[in-house]
Amino acid sequence: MAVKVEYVLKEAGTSLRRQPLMVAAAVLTVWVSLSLLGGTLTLNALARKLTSFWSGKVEVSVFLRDDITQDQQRAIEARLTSLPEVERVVFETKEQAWQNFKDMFRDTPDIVENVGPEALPASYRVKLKDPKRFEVVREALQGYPGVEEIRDEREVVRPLLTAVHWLNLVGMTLVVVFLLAAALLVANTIRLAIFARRQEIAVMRLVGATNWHIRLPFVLEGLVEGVAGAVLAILVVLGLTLLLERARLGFYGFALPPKVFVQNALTLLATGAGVGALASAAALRRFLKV
Amino acid sequence: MIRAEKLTKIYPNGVVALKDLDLTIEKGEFVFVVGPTGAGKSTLLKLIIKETEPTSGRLLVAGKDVSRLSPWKVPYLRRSIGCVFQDFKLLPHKTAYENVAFAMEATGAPEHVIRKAVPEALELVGLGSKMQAFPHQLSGGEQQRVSIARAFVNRPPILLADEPTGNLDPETSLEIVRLLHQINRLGSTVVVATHDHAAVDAMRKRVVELEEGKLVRDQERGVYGYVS
Repeated sequence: MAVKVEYVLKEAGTSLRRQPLMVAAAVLTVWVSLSLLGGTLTLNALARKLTSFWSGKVEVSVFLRDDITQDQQRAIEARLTSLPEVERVVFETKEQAWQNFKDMFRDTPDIVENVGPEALPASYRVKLKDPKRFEVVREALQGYPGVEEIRDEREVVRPLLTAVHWLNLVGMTLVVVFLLAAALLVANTIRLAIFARRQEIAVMRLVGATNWHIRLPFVLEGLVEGVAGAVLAILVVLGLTLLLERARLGFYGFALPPKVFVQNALTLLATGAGVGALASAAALRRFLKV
Repeated sequence: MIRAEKLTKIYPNGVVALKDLDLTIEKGEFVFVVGPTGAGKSTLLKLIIKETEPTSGRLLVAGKDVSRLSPWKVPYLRRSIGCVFQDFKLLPHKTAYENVAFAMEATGAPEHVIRKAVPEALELVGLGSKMQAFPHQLSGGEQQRVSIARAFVNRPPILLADEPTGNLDPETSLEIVRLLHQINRLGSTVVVATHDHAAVDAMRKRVVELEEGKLVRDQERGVYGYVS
């Protein structure tokens, strides 16, 4: 029952060398489809990071005028805390705003120098029980003096969410189409390999080789094609990740942790191996009667 | 060793290859199965190695009901049966040695066993000096000897030959049949399907004659019989 490892490796290797163009076509298609998948996953992770960065902290910011009096400020705070829709109110002084700002832009001292500590307003950061009830805050503070601006921070995120939605839809559709093409090409290389070895297969069946002895080299061949495409795609995703890093998106705090890359790489590897193995299994079912 | 009971095979296209065949071949026998083309000789051999399924009836090979054998056991059935064909079925890009070794590798035999058994088998068929020759460098008779070595190398209890002399001249045919007989004396049950009159007449062995899928003659020490 035991199938020898060297035998399987040798046979799969010979078979892969026998039809370099078809194998290249299969590997390239796996590569393209998995690069698309990897790109989509990476941009998705970035978008998720971005979204949580913005919407996690604040939902509504109430910026205060610099000439606000103590009474006016107290009135605003009292009004905000009295609203049943509000979950939490945090006061951010001009000092803290400046500190946060400096922290955010620590990689680009030019920007920090040009702004200066006086430029940023103090604000109330309001978290709502239901983020959609933004209008309540605006109405409640109608006519209160000392309010510079009320901003729904989720507005910043909304176009991003829409973009991510479409990116996912288009990206994943392309991924599915390309993966299908990749599977068909891998299956075709296996079909050709079976054809090239039909005499050997006939003899093996005749002398009582087990099904797995006959099949395993072909399964390995498909697996190798899938994994090769995945490895190339991982390089593309690595490039993309480094590019995003270089684009200094990092100073907004958007840098992707290495964990995300590792996760994506593993996903691609598993998908590539899966497509390769499934395609060769399908080809074997169809073209190899044992 | 081989027993057919009311064995019937009707192909999907309606051709009746075997009809209610009753036949017993004992362990160690040497049997010719004769009859015109289409009499069912090849079908009988295919049924024995479970390459095709009987329509009805029973077929016992080495005590096992072949039609009830589960698919994953088929390889093990085939390891106990050596097969020789009219067209040799040698791999053209492998030497005589490699062709025989390939059959052993396919069944997972360890390397040191292969290195010992392959030369032995090729010596036995008289090709000890041509082990490194490719099939195209060998005559038809020599190629058939290689295929016999391949069938015999695992020392199977049963050896089936389907028209083994069909592509050979009369003199070479006799040599091949004598070689099969020699293998029979080493202990294998040998079944030869043929319509080679000269070979059958020269051997004077048991002759089973089929006609249109039916047993029409079963004779010890027989000859091919009526000229057709």
